[in-house]
Amino acid sequence: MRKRIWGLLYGILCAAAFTGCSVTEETKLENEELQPVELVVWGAEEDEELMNQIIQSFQIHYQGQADFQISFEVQGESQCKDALIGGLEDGADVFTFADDQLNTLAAAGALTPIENADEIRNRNLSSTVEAALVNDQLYAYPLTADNGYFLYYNKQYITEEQAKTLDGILEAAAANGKLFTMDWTSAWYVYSFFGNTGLQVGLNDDGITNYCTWNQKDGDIRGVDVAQAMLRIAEQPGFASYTDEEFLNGVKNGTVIAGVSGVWNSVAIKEAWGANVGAVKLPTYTCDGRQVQMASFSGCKLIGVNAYSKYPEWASRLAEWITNEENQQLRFEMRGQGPSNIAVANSAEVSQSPAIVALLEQSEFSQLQRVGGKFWDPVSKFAGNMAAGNPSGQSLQAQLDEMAEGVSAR
Amino acid sequence: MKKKLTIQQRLILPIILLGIVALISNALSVIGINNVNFNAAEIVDNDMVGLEILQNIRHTTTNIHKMALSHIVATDYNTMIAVVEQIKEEEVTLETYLEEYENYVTEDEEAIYAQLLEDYDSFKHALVYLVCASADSKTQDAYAYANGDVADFGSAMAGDIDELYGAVRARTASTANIKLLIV
Repeated sequence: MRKRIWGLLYGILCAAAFTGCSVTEETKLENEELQPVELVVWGAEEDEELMNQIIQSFQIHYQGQADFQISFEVQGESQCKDALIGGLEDGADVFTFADDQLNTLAAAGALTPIENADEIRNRNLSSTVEAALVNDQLYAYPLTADNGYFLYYNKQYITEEQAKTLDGILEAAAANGKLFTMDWTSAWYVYSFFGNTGLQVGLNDDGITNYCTWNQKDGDIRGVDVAQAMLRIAEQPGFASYTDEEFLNGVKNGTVIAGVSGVWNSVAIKEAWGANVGAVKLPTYTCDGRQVQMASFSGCKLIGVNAYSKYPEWASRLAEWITNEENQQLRFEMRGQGPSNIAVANSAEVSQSPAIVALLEQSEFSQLQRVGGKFWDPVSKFAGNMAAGNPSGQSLQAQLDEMAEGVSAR
Repeated sequence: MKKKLTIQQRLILPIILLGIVALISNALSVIGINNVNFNAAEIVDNDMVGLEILQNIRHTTTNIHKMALSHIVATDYNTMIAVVEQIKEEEVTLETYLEEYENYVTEDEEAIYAQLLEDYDSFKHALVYLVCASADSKTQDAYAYANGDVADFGSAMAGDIDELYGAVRARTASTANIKLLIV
């Protein structure tokens, strides 16, 4: 009898214990239910493979912390601001953009100051950190330190000597029935003709409006001299104004043997031209009977986190992940892009890259890209007319005046 | 046989009756005063506080609208960045007021309150477009938003607030009248 009672008591105790276990397990499972995190990332078309790889490693790293649904969408870095401002609340959570768009994005409330700014500052080149600052506050994550352009040429057709002058390049191109190309629809590249002439363009103290003396009628080199030089270049059979995409297509199909572009195309050009790839500073061009070194804009690419993201913490973590040392190393390996991360930038591999060397060579003649929004369209319109051989016949001075007025408009 | 009341008894009876009436009257008065107090407390605690929150909502909305206009007329990025931060702070304040006001919404006012939230949502979206256009130096577009959607949804919010205000006032008056009648 006594044994039966003890047996019954043990049975009750076991049942109670199992019941307890079951409840705990259920509670645990409930707690472990992962929260969905949906993020959209914008980046350049050429970066798609790289970015997908980075996104995948991010998801693996943070596995079990959220139910991730991260997608990559193609959005050119140079137009990122326009796309974002057109629909900020529906825009990407994390996006890549050129540093000249920073002020506008901050003023639009699209970006907010980064919380762990000191950490980010310490591991990136000071020039890239400066490019991401507004009022000494870090608003974006530095990604690359290479947003500039230089000359790519095919050594099979153009000698090292010819690559020093635009005349030499155009001559070689014409002689081979090929092309040298440059994008004159983009004011970013057109700056190169004016940058080293003593004619000025830049941002006023308000950070919004520009000053522009590209229409100057006196001085060592006048605006008209540059315009005439551009017209002469446009007339050459070896010249074509191609967009960056058209340039790359031309490189691939063999019609283009030289062009002005940046490190973002280094891998594709290497694939097309192999050992014949030449990458050097921009050439000189003939202006008012003398050789003028072509200038360039410089800058860097940044990663921004949309202030209207529904998952700001995860978006920030992803932005940090994209720009960390490992992924900047991967970016250099896959895309040949110059890193902003100090450790990667100092590596022997990076300092030996021909594209990075060319960019460094050009940096002596480059200017940090700091112009207001009204710079782009008037310059693009003017250069478009020059590229087309001035079909309207309007006086060059009048066109320069119109351009300068548009650039410095309030 | 009827028992005759003594003079003493005859005199004391009306006094007792009067005493009872006075007692009942006083009791009713105390209850009445308690009701008035309770009613006054209800008006102060609920209706007056509710009205104050409504005033705050109206005031903050107007502030945000004014800030958006200063964003357009700002002549440098630093001012724009400062203004956009202020706008976001004011939006947080406004959202707190809106959330707080939910506690004072009666069943009859639920629809107006829902409309107010909806209009605020549209107002907020329109503000984003305004500020973006303004930051991108598209001043004409920014003014178009300011005079269009932002103004329209701002007015709609003001209308909703007026309606809620009127409803609270009517509720207060009717509550007070009923209680006074009871007293």
